[in-house]
Amino acid sequence: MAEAASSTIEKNNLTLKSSYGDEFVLEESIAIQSVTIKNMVEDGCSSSVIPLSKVDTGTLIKVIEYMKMHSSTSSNEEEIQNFDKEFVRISIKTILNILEAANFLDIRSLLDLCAEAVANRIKNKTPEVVRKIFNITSDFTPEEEAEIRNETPWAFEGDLDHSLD
Amino acid sequence: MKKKNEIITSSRGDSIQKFNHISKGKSVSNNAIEQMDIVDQAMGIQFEEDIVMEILARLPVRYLFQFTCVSKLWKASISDPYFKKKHLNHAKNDRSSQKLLISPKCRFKDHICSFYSSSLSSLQVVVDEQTLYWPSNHKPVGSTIYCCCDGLVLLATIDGLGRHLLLWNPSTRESIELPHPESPFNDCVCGIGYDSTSDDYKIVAINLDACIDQDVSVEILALKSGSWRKICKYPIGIHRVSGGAMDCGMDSLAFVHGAFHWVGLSRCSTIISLNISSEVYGEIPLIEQMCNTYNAKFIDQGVLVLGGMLCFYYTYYRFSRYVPFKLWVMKDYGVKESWTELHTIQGYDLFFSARPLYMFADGEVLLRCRHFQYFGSVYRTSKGPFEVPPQCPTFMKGLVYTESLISPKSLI
Repeated sequence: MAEAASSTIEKNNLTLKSSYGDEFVLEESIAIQSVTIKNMVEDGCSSSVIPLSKVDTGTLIKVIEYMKMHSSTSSNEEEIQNFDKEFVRISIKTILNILEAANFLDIRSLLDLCAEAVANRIKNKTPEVVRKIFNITSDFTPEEEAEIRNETPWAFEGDLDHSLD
Repeated sequence: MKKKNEIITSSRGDSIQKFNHISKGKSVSNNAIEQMDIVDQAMGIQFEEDIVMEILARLPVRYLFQFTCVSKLWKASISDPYFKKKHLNHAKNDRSSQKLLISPKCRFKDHICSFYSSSLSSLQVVVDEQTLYWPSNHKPVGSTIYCCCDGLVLLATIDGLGRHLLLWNPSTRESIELPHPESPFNDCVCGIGYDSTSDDYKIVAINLDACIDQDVSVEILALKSGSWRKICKYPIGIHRVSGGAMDCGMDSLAFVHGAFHWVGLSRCSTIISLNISSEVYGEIPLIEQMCNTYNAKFIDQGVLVLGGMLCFYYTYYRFSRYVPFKLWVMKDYGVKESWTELHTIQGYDLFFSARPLYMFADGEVLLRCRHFQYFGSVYRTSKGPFEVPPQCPTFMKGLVYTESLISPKSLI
């Protein structure tokens, strides 16, 4: 009896390995919110450890935290909404990392949550600040940039936010 | 959160081993997050284009114009027709992208037409003044807003030479002039819709002022074709509501589910539909309560779209009194049984006056009503007045549009 139970647990658990080599055991029913992992499970390649070479440990912990909350049957809609609100109260850089992981792991709701959060945070920021956040070097000459600004001057009116976060 | 994890895992019976494992992970986490930020800054990771698109698709149009100068790639992405459609699909489902466009009466200064655009997502109305520019030789003295679709507003401006028909995107401030149909445009009820079959926007103009039903002219302008074309006669067995557009209760045709809709008369009131691609007429059945207008002296009724659903309203005058304004919504398109009464609003001033414009998240409805003292409009909900900023004593017509990047010039 005890043996049967433990083998069921074994069967239903998956091990996810971050790019730093840290391993996390997670119930399969929770992990398959990720379409990428679901496909791996269905293709039968989940017997051993699932390496997530694009997801670092810190990000993976956040993703697991999210998946656990969203698969929990004990939390109601309001709790989930509050969780989501708190979940994205972190630096834009960290949200962007989770967004990349959500894209790779194909977790649509997490991707939506993070994309929405980043969009809200970069509204009103100057193009210079946005470049810094996204690690972009401008490939426009100052003249070209001035020309773009002149095409739609109304879009550049009003106060802009110069902070990085 | 930690505590919650514990509870969740233990309730599933396989707790201890796993929780230990996760805690082990957690002890790594703080370090890892710090490390990550350092690595990030040092390595200068570039984000994948589709991730950037996901973020940009959720931004208001004004910010996207600002961000076109971030880089050449961002400029190209934002100008891409595929991105514009993706952005529109997000905007349609986003309440903060819904804007009330109103034209104040005193809107002409030096022949420049200005409108007010205000967000409907919050109770605190924030107003932007929008200026409509047009080909420089026009000197307009008036304008009329008709209808909109995907952020594109169909309107006419009037100058000494007559009426100019324009398609305007108030979010990008771009407009084009359109040709006129054969029927005088101010006798027509019109509508604009997107035909996914031909990937084209189409405008339909129906001249309901004809004396007999057979003479009702239905014309359609596919923007890509550039010219108006008459289509087959008014459907047999369905009559226009007498008196023309006024009795139809409509400023515009209601476009939803790939078809234009308006009110007609067969045995009793009915809704006529015209499919945008096949140009086939149809009929949307009403339930008995909606046609219950016997002995009514005057009926004011119409169809419109709220929250992506077909709606119908009426109020009428019977036995020397006004019957309250009633609004129904068809929850499943084409399913007669799904008609549901949404609001009943009392008030004699709603007759030939109240026109629903928008449904808020809680089901409350914004209505534009006639201002009987001044020639203009006032706004209200089912509960009472809805204050739009009083820069001007009265407003002319108004409508609710979705902010979009769709460029009128790219459609012709």
